Amino acid sequence: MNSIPGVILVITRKKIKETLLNPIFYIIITFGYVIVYIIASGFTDIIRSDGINPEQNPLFEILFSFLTGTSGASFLERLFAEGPFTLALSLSLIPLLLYLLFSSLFKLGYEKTTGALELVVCGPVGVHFYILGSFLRNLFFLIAYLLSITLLSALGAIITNTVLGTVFFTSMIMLFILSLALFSLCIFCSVISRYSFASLAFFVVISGFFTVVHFGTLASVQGNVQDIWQAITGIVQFVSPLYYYMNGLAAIDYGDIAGYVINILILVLISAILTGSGYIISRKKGIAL
Amino acid sequence: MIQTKHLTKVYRDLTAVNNLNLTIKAGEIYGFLGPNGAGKTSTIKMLLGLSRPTSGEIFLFGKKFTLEKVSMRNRIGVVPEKHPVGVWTWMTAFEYLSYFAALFEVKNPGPRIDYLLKKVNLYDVKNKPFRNFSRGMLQKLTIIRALLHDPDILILDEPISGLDPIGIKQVRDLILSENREGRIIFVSSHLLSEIEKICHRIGIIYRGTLIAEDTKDVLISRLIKQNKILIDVEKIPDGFLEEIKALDFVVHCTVTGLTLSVEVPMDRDYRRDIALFIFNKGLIPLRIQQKEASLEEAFMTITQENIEKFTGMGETG
Repeated sequence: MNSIPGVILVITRKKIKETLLNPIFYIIITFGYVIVYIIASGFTDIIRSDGINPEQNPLFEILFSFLTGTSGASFLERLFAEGPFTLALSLSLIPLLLYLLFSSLFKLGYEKTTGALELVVCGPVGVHFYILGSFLRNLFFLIAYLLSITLLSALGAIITNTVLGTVFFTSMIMLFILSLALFSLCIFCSVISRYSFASLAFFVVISGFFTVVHFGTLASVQGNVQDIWQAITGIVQFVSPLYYYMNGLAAIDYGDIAGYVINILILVLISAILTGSGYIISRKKGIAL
Repeated sequence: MIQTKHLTKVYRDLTAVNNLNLTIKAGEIYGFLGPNGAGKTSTIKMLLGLSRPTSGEIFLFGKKFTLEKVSMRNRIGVVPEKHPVGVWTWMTAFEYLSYFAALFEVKNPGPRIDYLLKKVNLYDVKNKPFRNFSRGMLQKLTIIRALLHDPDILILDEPISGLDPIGIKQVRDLILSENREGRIIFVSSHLLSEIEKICHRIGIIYRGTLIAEDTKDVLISRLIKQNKILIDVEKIPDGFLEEIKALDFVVHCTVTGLTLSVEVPMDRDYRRDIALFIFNKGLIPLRIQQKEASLEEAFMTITQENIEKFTGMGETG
């Protein structure tokens, strides 16, 4: 029997190399860094001796209005408590996350269609190893990117005489765990259908639904609107990773370490359930997935 | 040894493979023939452990093989019909082989890769991306990829499809040389002329059922009931064709230009009888040749018989 870690490592290494050879990857990374730069430099426009004035920068004006409406003023306060870097980190991660998630779904679908996956799993390699390899590739790039952003932010903090404090690092951990949950959702979606388009559509619909449920619920609560939608979202939010992500961030704000840890654990549990389900489905379906 | 017992695969209301019993001995080259949709690919997928049989069992070297026994796949090398080149365009031939060698955990793969590349004359291009390889080069690369881990069984799905004559010869030689090393070779193909050149035994599958299985010669002798004699003559006088058809040993006769094609029973050689008849008519036969029955004809006969059996009528095409 071939050693499972060895095989997964081979697949992961190949997937990492494949990504590094893809020019789109560098465009995405550059785009992420540009976002960090724009936010960091824009922050210097809005910071005043009496506090933050978002009207000084059109981008921040839009961002503030959106975030106040969806997540509340306290969230915003927390976000800028240590300067612009927490926001920069959160926003700049989005392009990379989308790239990793969509490329995983597309690539697996493409490999299924062309028979490449079949060729690989004709050997002593289970489909689940292959999907796990894809998951580890995502993890590798996520960690590398978060480290690079931390380094950049640390440099920025030194230059602008600000600090990278607890909020930045706890947010980074929450983002990391949230990304894990999304990667797990990606695994689950990729084994649900044998067609990449269907897997992608499934992923977009689920993620979109969670996003709408999350932000929609908060907006509804603020407006005290009691309708069916609220009832549905009130239930559905409990399976949404975004819900625990936001709760975890709120827990930091209140200094509730236990709450923070619990939300992280719930996110890890959601990831484990999704990955486990994907693993079981892929083992059951074999190459037929 | 590969053995299947009552192997059956049903997709909803379609029985792709029906009660298939195969026994392929060590060191044998087994040709698996059948028209499109006959159940060849479904059988191969089950033999590779990629698809679960609806019922029946597969034994590899006496041990039961199931989808869960992933490690047993180590004893099988596979050459699929379609090579997914587009997925690995960035790889060189060496990188590609190294990747698969690593997946199969081949110890010290470098010398093995070099040896196989030399064997198929691809060593000189080992560091070139294989996206620009010809179909023949690609097929050879695919075959040596399947041989990297030194499998006991080599399963080839349409290995010579789309190759030029030189490529066909190279692949054929490679298959024969691998068989000489003791490997079981299972070849699925619709190119019957090639199958009959290399296979020790042949199985014909039709609509999921194995309808014939034997050596080439036995299959042909069992299925081909007539010999065909080709005769070139200087001219064909009026009424000559009717006179030949009237001969008691002639089953059928057709004319193409100045060539007569006469079908006669297989009980003995009728060339002398035909030559005498032509001389007696004052004609000189320029050529008399008994055409050897081919596997293709046997295949056509048997599948036609089965079409009739399955449909209850003489369907063609």
